[in-house]
Amino acid sequence: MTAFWGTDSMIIGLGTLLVLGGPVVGGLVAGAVAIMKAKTEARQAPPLFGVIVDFFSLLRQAPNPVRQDLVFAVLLQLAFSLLSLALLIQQMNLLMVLFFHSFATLIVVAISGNLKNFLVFQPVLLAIGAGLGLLTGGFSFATLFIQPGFFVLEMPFLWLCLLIVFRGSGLPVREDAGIAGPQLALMKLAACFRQTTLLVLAGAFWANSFVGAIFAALLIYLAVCLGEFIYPRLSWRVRIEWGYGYLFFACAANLSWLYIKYWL
Amino acid sequence: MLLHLMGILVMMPILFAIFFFLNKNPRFLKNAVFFLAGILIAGVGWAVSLGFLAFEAPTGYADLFIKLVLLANLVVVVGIIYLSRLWKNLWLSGLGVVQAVLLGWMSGGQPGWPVGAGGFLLDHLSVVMLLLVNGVGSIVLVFSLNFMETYEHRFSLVNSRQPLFFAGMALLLGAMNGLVVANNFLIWFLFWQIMVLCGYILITHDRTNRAIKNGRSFVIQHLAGGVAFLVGVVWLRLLTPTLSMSETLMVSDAIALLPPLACFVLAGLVFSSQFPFQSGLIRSITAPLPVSVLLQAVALSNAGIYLIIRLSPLFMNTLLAKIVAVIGAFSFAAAALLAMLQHDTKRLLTLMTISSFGLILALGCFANLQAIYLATLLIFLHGMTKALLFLCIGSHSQSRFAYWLTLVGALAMLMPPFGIPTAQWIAIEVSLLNPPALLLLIAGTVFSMVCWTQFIVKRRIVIFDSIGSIEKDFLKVAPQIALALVVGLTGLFLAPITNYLITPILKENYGRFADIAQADATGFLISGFSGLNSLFVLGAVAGIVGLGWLWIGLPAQAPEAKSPGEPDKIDTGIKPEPITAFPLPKNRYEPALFSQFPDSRKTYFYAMVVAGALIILMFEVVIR
Repeated sequence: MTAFWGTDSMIIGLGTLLVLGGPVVGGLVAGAVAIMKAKTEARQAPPLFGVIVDFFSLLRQAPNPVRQDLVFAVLLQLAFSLLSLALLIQQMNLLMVLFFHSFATLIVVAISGNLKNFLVFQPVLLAIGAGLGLLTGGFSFATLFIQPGFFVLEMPFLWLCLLIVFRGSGLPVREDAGIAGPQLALMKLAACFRQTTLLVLAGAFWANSFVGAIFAALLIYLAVCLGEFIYPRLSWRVRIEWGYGYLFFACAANLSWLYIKYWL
Repeated sequence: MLLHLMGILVMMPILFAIFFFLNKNPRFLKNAVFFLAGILIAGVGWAVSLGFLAFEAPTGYADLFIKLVLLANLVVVVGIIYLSRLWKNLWLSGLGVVQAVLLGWMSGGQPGWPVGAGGFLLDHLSVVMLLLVNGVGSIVLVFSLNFMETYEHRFSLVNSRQPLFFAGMALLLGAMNGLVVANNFLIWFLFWQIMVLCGYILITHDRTNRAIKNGRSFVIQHLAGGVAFLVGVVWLRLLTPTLSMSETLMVSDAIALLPPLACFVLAGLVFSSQFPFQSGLIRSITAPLPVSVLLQAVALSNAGIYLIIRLSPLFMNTLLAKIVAVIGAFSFAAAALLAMLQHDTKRLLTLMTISSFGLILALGCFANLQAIYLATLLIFLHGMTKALLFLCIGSHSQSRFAYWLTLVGALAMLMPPFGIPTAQWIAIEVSLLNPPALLLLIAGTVFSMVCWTQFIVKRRIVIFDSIGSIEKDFLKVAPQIALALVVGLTGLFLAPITNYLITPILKENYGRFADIAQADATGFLISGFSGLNSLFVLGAVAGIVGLGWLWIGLPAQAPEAKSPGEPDKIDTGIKPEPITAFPLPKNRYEPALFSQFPDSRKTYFYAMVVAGALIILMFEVVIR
């Protein structure tokens, strides 16, 4: 192991930072983005800490679950989201991380009745994992950091796909899903962990450069915001068409390129 | 010793089948079914304790023995030709004649034909299959007693058809047991043909035009697979001096055997209903539900996968293996995609069976320890969980308990270690150097996850809408409870079970791959938790907590919708009767999430075209 992510203490430190600091920073950035968006739409901007305040106010509300199974599902997806992030920080098998991430997302989409979203984005995520596997010859996340160069040059399409997946992974919860109060807060928290997992994965595209990883994370977030402003809401049909018309094709092309270059 | 075991597992079901057919007394039938189930379970318990055993006909009798097998095969084929005359079906006549010609050529061909080597073999792969066939098969037999009584009540039959039905089931189980321990391609073929004919008897139980049409189509498709199998046998015999499966597996120049192996693979694809041969199995769902369980989770389809897994060491690491992996991955993805579009639960489960077999097929083609391990394990686990799901959706009682068990079965499919996710993860990992298979496996993984989630969500809605009541007659749900317990206990003790049953398979069957045969697979599923599988512990804890939570939150009775202005109902003190009669539970549901997708018939068509092209490619590559 090399670079910034080697020793146990570094792993523990980084893990703590991501698990505790991620949601706080994420909340602040989300607040900043909300202000930017309000400005572009010429309406009154919400406060910077609005997202964090909303989160705590939701958490303080009296629990009034309509269905007990939903409460369990919310807790389960929070556990899987946290587990996938923790396993990634522990540099475990990348596919295992992605499968736990998938379980968490699956529960969320099942709650919110948005299975189509999963259908589009999850293959892309697994394809990104496969791309990293083809590049490094295995699925150990630790081996990513001993590779020379920037992965983004080898996997430009997969990089673009990751941006789109990141955009799509912030799943809205339907109002009629019966989720409110503390459960909704926990879902938002879990979403934050899942997004952090994707950001860490995105950081792997600049694995041998700490600055590059930060830069990559920022670039992704800006791109996501840009996408959000340009395409506020896409219908599921458009997403499906994009998913299989562009994303899957792009992934297949990039994977084929990696296979031809390194394995044929 | 092996002959005694075969007497119990093969001959006893055949004898019972004759008794069932001849004796029309329902009381006798009921007791005999229980007795047969007990015999099969005792027999398989003995088989597990025996381990590795082989039987060869004594010197001097080997040739006679195989000639008798050939004769029996010819008798079955003549029966098929007779059937084709009755049905006036040219396809069936053609297939029967081709089979007769091939068998006749073998029996009266060149000197030394056929070769008597072979006989029977009980190794750990056979034991795993025997466990599935007899363990689950016995439970299905007992389940069928109650099920068929209610089922026939629907038709108001003057004469019950249960004797023939149970005779068919017993014969099917006996033939499958014979097939599993057969160590000669001709013996394998004989039991296979018997199973196909049993399948026809069971599928056409209703005697409706639709049932008869589906039964005929099933027979024709599987006999076509039989022709491919026989061509493989003849081709193999031209290249090697033996028709023994175990001796064939030890042939040093396996590359020369690729053409006959491609024929066997094609037969296996037909038997296991992989794309484009899926229609026979899908049409067979019109039969009574226990038939679907036997065909999909226990016997016929499993036989196809068993054949390919048994022969896979011969073609691993070849181009044939790569193409077969792509075909398996394609079936895995296409069937899961089509399953998402289904309204009918039986059809959905059938497509997911095809999908799971595709995954097993893909895994079994990679010369990788984990892939082979999971492929073998998945045959067993899939059979049990799929049988549980079928039995629960087919419960006449519509009890809430049956729905709970269905949910447990579906969760078992989705969560480690039964699922399919562990196998999918390993499949993606090992298929890294086979890009088409990799992409298809990724797509199939997501499709099957969505499909099972959709299934669970819909089932959960049914539970919370409380359409049924808690079943009070314990015997009606006993088979489901027994199977659920078997599933749970297998999951809990998966590590020791696999160490005892699966690990030896790697040493016995994969000797030509030193890294697989000599690898220590005992710790593969163990990583802490006092010898328990950690993935299972995680899944089990989540499942138990979840079910407990659901149980607490379950409403005592669903609130009834009340129209505005309607007065409150007066409590008369009379409790409503639980729903026990037909129609079957609400197995139809609207897959609203995907209702806007294009017609699934087109998807079927395109999937079959692609799969057909892949099979043509397989032969083109192998013959070159």
